[in-house]
Amino acid sequence: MTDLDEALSADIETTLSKLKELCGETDDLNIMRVRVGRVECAAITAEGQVSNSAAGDLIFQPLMYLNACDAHEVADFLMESSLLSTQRSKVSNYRELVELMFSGFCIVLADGWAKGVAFGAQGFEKRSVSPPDSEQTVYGPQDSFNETVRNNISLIRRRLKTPFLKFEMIKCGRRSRTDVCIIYMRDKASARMVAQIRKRLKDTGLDTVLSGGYIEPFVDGAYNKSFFPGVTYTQRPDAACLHLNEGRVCILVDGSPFCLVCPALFSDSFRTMDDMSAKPGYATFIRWLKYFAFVLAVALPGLYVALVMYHPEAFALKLLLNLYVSEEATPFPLPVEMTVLVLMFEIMREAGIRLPKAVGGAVSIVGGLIIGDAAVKSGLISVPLLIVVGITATSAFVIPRLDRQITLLRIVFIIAASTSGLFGVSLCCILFMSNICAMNDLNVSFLSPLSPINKRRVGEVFFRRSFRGYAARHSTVTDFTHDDRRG
Amino acid sequence: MKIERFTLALFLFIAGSFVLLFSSSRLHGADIRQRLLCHAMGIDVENGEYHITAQIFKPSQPGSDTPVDITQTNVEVLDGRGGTIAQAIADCEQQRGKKLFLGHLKLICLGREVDLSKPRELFDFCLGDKTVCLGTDICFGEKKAEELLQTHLTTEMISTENYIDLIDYNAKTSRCARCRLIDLLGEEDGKFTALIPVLEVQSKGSDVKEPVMCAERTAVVQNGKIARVLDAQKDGAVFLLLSNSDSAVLQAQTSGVPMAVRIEKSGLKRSMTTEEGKPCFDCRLTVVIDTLGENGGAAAAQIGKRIEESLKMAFEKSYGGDRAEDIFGLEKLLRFDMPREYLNNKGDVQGYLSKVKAKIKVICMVK
Amino acid sequence: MKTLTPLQLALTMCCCRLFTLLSEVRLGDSPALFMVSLAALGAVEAVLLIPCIGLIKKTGKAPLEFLYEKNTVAAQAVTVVFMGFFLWDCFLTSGGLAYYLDRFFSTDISRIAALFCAVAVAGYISSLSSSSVGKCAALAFGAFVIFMLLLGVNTVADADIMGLHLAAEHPKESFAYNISSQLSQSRELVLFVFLLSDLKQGHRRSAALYIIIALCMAQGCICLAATALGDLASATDTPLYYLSCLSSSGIAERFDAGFMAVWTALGVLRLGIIIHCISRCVKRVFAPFSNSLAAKLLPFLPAVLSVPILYTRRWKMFVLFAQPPYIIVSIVGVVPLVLLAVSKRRREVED
Repeated sequence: MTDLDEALSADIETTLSKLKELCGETDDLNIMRVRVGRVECAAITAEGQVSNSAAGDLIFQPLMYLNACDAHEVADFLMESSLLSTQRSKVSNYRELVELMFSGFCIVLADGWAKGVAFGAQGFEKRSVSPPDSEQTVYGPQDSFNETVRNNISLIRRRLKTPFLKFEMIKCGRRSRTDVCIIYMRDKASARMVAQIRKRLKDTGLDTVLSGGYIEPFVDGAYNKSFFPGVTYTQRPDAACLHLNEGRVCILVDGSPFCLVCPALFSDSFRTMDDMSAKPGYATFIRWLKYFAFVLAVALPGLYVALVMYHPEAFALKLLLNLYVSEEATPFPLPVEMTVLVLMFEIMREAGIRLPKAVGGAVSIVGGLIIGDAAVKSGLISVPLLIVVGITATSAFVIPRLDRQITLLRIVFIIAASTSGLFGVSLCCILFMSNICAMNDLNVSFLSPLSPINKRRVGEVFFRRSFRGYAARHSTVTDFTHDDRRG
Repeated sequence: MKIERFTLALFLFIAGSFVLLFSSSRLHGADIRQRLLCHAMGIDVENGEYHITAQIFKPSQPGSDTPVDITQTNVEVLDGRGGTIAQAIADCEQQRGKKLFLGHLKLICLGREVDLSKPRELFDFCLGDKTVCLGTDICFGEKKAEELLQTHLTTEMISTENYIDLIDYNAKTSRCARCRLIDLLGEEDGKFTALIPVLEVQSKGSDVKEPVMCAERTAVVQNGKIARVLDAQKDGAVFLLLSNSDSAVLQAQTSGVPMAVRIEKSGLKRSMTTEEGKPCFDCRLTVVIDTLGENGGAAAAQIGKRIEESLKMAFEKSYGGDRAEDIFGLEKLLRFDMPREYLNNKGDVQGYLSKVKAKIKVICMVK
Repeated sequence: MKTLTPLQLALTMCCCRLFTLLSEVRLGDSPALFMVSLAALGAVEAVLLIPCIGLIKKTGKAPLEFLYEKNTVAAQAVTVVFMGFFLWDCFLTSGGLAYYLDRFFSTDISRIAALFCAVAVAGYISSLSSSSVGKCAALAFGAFVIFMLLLGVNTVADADIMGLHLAAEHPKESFAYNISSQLSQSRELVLFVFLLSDLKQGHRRSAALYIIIALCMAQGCICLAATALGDLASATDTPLYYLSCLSSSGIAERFDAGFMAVWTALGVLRLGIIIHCISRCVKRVFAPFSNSLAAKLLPFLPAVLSVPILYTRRWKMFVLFAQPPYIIVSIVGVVPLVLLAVSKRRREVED
């Protein structure tokens, strides 16, 4: 069996037969034999990966006009005397040949030359740049990343025309050899942080890397220890540029339209790019609204259960009487009602994501009718409970980045509140707070700059600074660490 | 890795414990449906035992999508008897098989025969039950507390809100005093004076649908017993010196024409000093009257003088005897201003205060 | 790695102090005199901490660290004393948490179950680094301040300055008793001295912050309780709980449920940091056995021992105020003073 790291042979027949053997005579291997002058050559492509017009116009046609006497003339023409494509690299072994071929390169071999030349002529089908699905804004840019890493690189480079912006391409996945690009600003990101991330990516050891989720557990040092993610995703190039300017590291994975950003801070989930399009006052108001929505989304059902069951004296009198009247008629205990309703909501939400768009509307009708109307009228659940779950659900939509954490936390709080009222809720709060406080991956605390408090930057958690403030100095995550070394 | 496993194990352990507790039968004990929401409680003493009358919330139309019907009374009355109040409460609970929830107890009405000499002992059931609010109002019934608690009103969601609103309004307009549970719990046994409003039912005829309530009298409790009763008409000015009052309505007569004048309390300065070895109470009350017409100044002077006289008279009545009825809270003022004097006379503060001289000045201004 | 900041350490200790303050405090006859005693206590604590801070300034090492360099046997002995004190503190804190929860709050959870849950969470907290606990304490402290502000705003209408009177029958004895009893409750001073080794710098600043913040918060709470509750504040040993019962606003009828949430958070944090310190002492003293199950379970032993006492309802026997403060004075003041003297003498000898 041919070893991938074996060098190419000067004999073109040997090279081609070994290549076929290596690829198991796969049908998507295209080998075109041609005589260039007196030299036998071959152009190797993978089916569907190469643009026929680009290959024909840019590579094949110029070759046809070449009247070469030996392989070195061909090699000289291909490597030194011509520019047939924007991407050109020399191929020395089968590993490089195979990787480049399946990456949409056209490899030209010449009989008598133990190397090949690979020209970029990618023509595989790809999705065009479209508006982002997950992070919509009203006034911000409407382009987003797609599955092609090189397109994504261009979207970032177009916005940051600084020589300090660096892209590092590495391969991840023993079999998939997926292109993964590490991006950072050399003068802002910590060298130690970049080195740590690079090492973690190289140590993944997976066979395939098909999306950002595959490498997240390796990049996120707190993946197994914490409830909240130490790495965040973004689909927006402008958001990625913002994070890069803050000294963070972005990771693009070929085949995934999401960019990983690390390290993530808790306050990141409460910022959107629309904040930058509004005046500081309004942006601050919205930010506070999001914090409030987060508390509602996580704690409101648990607090409701705790207060109604264990601390009804805390309610105002009229409110308590209305709650009493509503709950008296329902057959199930309050925690059971709450848990069932929350789970029903999660089922509907999941159904709404998975269903085809054409029938997606039916989910909202069914959900509204069954849960909203019929269940209440039949006396299965009470109206105040429905209002609480409705507010909770709507609040969760305000912070989509934390929706998974919110879903789980909510259920934990309901269980804790059901067993021991506010005592249980308080224990859960302390438990999760301490878990968050212990998150310290890449030498950056997850709660920075709030805890440990950074007096100059703590205001950014609660307020959006004015652009004059940004003009004076943009803060970076390295402000929140003890490591001030730059890349 | 070991630490991660330990942490995971700990998480699972905690979660498992919660789930076990959740699925245990203890869940039912805290259900709101297992509670009787008691808003008002009457305490009477009959034949040496306590008789409790509890007004509990009973919705006229329960339903998962039905609000409370405020046109109905929405209350039910439970009776219980026992050697102690706690036993009487237990008797009430046994009638319904549910626990009496006192977290929203707004009003405790006492019968005339209830002995208040040991308030902490009497209200021990409030401290023993961890949810009773310290701001619960205390009042006396005209004769028996039961009579008041059996009266059902429909102006608010429940009758008790009517009672509280009445006491609150009358206290603010200097028609009665206001006494809360916390005011009594802080007192030493048998050595205090308290002003407790008297809530009365005044029905105006058999064709009247809704009984009319009245809170214009205030009982002065001395050494646990009612010493006398203050009336809003005669002793209204007294209440101006209490912290709850904001305003009052008094009648003045200028140029032979009677007019009702609304008074607002603007400022009150009180202090205790000694003069010639005797305590001296210095009081400076500033009130503002709101009146149209040209006789405002004359009315102000008249009002000011009337209030001053009324206060002096009330002072002499309360502090003039052998033992003082401390209706103006002078004991606390003495303790704050002259702690040494207070401590020297701690054994018999009431006797010491009976020697107190009053310097009351009322300044009345027109708005 | 020394990542604990001075402010974090100060706030952690403040949380510990506030837990005992919220649980039980006897104001005596005169709340105003009690407040004066608290101010004097602040001065006493500052004086007690001077030798420790002086030692760190001179040698750059906390007392135990310094002792371990000089004499391992003596250091082990002192560590055992610290450990014993922490075990006692753990016993009091865990039992107190369960006891007061049952006494004041109408949760339907038994004392034992409450203790179990609290200790489990505290166990997790103890597994974190001291700086993580410090960050958590900073957040809990912030929540406490917001809660007290809410209480203050809602009870200011009931406040009467006459509650702050100075009429104590035996003022000098009361003053001395207040200082002594509060000092005996200030067990977190020992925690503070122990955790000073986690600070890279700013030891003096941390001590100053702790004393000032704790003093201000305590004074604020006592003042609010005394003015709002009047004589009831002196009659009860849990005035802050009753203060929360009295507060009401347009939205919430009363705040004792919120009080419980904040109090529980502070208590669990305190328990967590105590167990953390016990674990560190165990690792020092029983180094060869530090990975054994017994060593891991030892910090939880006091909580287990409190169970029979809670179960038989005899917790009140362990009254916080009956203990004299000599042990605290010895550990916090005398030991560092001796070490400071020793370090001075050595320097003189070397010179």
